[in-house]
Amino acid sequence: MVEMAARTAQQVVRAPGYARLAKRMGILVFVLLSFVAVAIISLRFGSLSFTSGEIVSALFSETDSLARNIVMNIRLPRLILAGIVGANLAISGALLQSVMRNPLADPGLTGVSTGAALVAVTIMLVFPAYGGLVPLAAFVGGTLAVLLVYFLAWNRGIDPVRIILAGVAVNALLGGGTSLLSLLYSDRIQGVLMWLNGSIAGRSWYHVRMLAPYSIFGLIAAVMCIKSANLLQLGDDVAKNLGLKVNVARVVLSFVAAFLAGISVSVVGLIGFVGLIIPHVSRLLIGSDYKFMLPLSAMLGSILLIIADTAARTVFRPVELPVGIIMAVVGGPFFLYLLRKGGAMR
Amino acid sequence: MIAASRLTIDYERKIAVEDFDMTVREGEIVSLIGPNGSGKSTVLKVLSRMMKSRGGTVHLDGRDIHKLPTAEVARKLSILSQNHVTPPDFTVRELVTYGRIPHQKWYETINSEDSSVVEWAIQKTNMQNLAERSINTLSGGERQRAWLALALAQQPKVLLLDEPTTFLDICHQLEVMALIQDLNAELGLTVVMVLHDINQAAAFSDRIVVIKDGRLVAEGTPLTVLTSQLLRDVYRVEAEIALHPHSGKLYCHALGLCRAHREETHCVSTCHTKRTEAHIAN
Amino acid sequence: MPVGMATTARAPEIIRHVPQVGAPRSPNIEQLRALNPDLVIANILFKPALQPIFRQHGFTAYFIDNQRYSSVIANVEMFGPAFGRTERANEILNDIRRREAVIRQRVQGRPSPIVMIIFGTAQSFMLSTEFSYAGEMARMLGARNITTTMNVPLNVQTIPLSMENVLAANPQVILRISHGNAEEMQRMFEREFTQNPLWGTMSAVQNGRVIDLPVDLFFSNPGLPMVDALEHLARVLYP
Repeated sequence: MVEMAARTAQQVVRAPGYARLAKRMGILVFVLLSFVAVAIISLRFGSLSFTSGEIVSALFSETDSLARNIVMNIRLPRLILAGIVGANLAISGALLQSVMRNPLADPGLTGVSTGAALVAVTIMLVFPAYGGLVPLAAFVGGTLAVLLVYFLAWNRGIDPVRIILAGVAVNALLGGGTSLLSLLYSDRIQGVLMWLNGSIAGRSWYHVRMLAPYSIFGLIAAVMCIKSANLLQLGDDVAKNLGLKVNVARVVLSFVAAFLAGISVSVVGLIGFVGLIIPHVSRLLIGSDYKFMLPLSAMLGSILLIIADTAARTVFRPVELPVGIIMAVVGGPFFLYLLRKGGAMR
Repeated sequence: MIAASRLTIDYERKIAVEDFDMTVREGEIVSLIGPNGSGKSTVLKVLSRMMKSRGGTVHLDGRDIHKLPTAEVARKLSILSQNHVTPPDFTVRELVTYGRIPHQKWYETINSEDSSVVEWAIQKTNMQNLAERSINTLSGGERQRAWLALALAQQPKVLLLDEPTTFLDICHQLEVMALIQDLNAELGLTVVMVLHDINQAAAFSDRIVVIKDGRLVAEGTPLTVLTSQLLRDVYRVEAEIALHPHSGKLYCHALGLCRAHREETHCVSTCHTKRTEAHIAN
Repeated sequence: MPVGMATTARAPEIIRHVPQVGAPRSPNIEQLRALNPDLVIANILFKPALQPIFRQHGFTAYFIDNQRYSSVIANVEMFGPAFGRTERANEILNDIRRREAVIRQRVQGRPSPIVMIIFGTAQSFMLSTEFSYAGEMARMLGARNITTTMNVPLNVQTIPLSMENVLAANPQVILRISHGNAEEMQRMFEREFTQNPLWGTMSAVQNGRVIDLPVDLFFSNPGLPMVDALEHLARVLYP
């Protein structure tokens, strides 16, 4: 028995590509552990200080303390929400980068963010009573914007350059609409600032319950897209040759990406950079094979947003910044750094 | 096996190919030759379904290629293009493994049969020592062979090659040509290749199809097709055709440009008497 | 003599016929020109943007702050003599001061409540500090704003405060201000307060001391009617 196991082990080790596989699994495990660590930190720290003992008892005993209230009703749901949204946005970016064959693709290209923002801002400024509809309406707005972009980009097929151009045009149009509203209702703009800059503040279990099922659906869809995403990387001709219906694949991947971004934006507002940066980092660490790159992107996206959210409520306490601002401040320089490093790699 | 009939193909709003017919029988090696811009790559792309023709049809195994499901075409036909886009960190093995995708269902991953086909493809293209290297660390020729291995891993019945030897040194050129012959003999692989080198075409093909300005000029065995006149008409070169004393293969030796008629599209036959010697530049 | 006003102005009956010249942030310069005013009074918030424009077109402009309670008083004190209506101005100011005295007497000696003022929409809100319109009035009435107790470094009017600190501060009274229809606004906030379990843990919610403030009086400074707002606030904070 032992001999057989030893021989199988030997076979596995000698199997071609084992070293690479081992390295990749190692990275995934390491990142998973980091995720757990970051989650713990996120529960431990916030704008109020508690001792570790208080946090632990808040989590596991039924005491009716301030700590428990804060941990269970603020930090825990925010942790989960940040994790889900981070994963959603990262996967969205990764899929779009495959569609566009361009590492500078961000979910915003599809118009989903500006579409959602326009609808949300319209409701919040003009029809505030329907505020409860914001998530659903924002999602619908985002979806319509994406449909518009792809309708404009379609010309006997989907070409990445046309998508980008159509996206720029639609983003300008819808963004202009939001700006117009901000101008007309300039006195009320305070009420939407937090949303426009992406904020997980004030979000609770209700939002988690709203987002989770759609998110799971989106994630499953994304997993089914892995093969297509990989094939698109080899170029349209080769992909076609290997049996991929390239146009269909582009559209499906785009819509899964838009869906994931849309549900996220609807719940927490506009958060940028995650979809742009995380797939890059993921690629640098683990390579371009989406079988590994996609799950890693999801985990890294979660980690990043959880850290950002924790920072948002800790760094300037008691003031709480919108998490989108933290992302922009951190994301910009980090992205520049990535560009330089990536240049060296090429 | 694969047949094109009355193909009319547009390329960038101009007619690139007009009324083109070509039939390739199973197990044949057919070379498509012609001057630059004659439309040969375009024809190949249409044969592989990569491009659509404006008129005419392409039949694979007797059925209209555009009516066949994409996956089925992918299992039967494989094309090796000139330019390739690869994610920089793919290894050769990973790349070749993609060739198995047409044979897998969407939820399946690599099984042992796939692995052995991949291994076979790597062995056949002599890439064993490079199998774990990243594609971007390979030379142009090695990269070409990796992509050839991918095409082989598809286990196609028909292999289309678009100038497969252009970037290879002479040793690797012969290697590739020998490999193609080998596969043709061993597996009955049908091959259609676009070649620049007329001698290669002559040496390694069963039949040659000549195309110029988008029209079929000649087709048949190398012996019947390759004549001095053809080379004058199509390539505007003066050449001597002979059978090589050692290999017995047909070869063309270019003597020089047809100078007097360089500007004209068609050489007049009256010119070609002994007086031609005077016109030929050294 | 007012010859033009902003589209969003809440004008009293007498001057409602006066032509409108556009939004406060970006008035229509052509219309303005046509009316040929001697003085343009604009909001100090838009000074950086509008001052160069007015200068370029040769308008005499004066920028006022009329967001804060104390600023309105100061403006009346200034404009009175400036437009030669000192008597009327004093009339108004005396009336205001009289009413203030009544209010002050009312709340004297009462324990000062800890208060939190929510400003915005249920999905996206911030807290009004003591430097805001409503916040200043609350302070005048002796209430303690949770933002003050928290050493907020900047003198801004609204601030996004972490809910953790809000829970820890546990205000006794929660005031809600938004824009739009009062009834709809209340519904919007109610929905958020019931769906999010956080709110239910606060004593203000448990004691039923969550009040929606009337939009027309509290969303932004209505000018002279602000005393009505002060009276309303006093009633709310000290029932």
